[in-house]
Amino acid sequence: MLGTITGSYGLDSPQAGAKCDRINYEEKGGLCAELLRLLYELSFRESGTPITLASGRKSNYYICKDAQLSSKGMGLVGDIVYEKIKELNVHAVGGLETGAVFIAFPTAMVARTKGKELNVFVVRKELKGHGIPKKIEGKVEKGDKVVVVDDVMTSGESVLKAINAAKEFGLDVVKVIVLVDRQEGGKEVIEETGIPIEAIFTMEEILQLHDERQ
Amino acid sequence: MMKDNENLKELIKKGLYQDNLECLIELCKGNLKEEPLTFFVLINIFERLASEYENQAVPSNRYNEVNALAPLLISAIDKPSKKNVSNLIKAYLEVCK
Repeated sequence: MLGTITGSYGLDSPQAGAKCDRINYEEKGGLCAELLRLLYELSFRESGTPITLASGRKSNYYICKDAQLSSKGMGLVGDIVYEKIKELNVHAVGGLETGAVFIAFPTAMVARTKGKELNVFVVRKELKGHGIPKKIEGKVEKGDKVVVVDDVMTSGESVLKAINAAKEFGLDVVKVIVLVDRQEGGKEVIEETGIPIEAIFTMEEILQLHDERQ
Repeated sequence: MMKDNENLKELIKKGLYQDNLECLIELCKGNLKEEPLTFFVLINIFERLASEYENQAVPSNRYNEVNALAPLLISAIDKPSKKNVSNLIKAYLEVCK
């Protein structure tokens, strides 16, 4: 049973598009509730021994990519993220390989089903040499409005790398969306850039569901 | 005189987690021209270790294993001799078996 979950910085209802601070995913029509359940059931891992986070802190919880790579998960991510960006009139959605790929591809596919063109761009972590691959892959041009996405944000470094690479290329980053914010300072790091950031879920919300399931 | 050596050593002592590894990579890039062999090796080691996190985490026993490289990393920075760099590479390869 999934109860009322308090969002840390407000989520849009996929259906209504309205912002609210307190979220009851069941009442909101299900997409977020379904994705949260799926994330919990497929991607949430509780480790018996501690793990060390990118920030150096310890945790016992890890979010793997199984939900994002499931057919249902991709569909839900695509629907939810598309709803959040459809009014922004952006040319593309993307970010740092590989986390952004799991969010950007389904979003672009959903856009296509709605009759909208939305390209994907991928920022490569490192370019080894001077071959054909570019730092930013995808059909984007200088001045294009884009949304940067990522699946799990920890300290925000990967999102920041994507933002910097996009800006260096000449893209106009209008928003950042992450699937799960681990609440390890990433939000604050991105906010310093002045770009609005939204997390579909926080680790706190996933842990709340975890508590309810125990 | 190598730039930021004290910063490098401080960061290494603080812990070889991803955020620090990313900082270490940037600091090492500043020393590449003066001491290419040592800092090319260090950059490669730090990049590979950082990639293990997939921007999230590694098991803490892996973190501890990697942190055991710290004395050899510091020796290679303090005295970038062929011997110290070779010892570092050998230890790194052992950790990555």
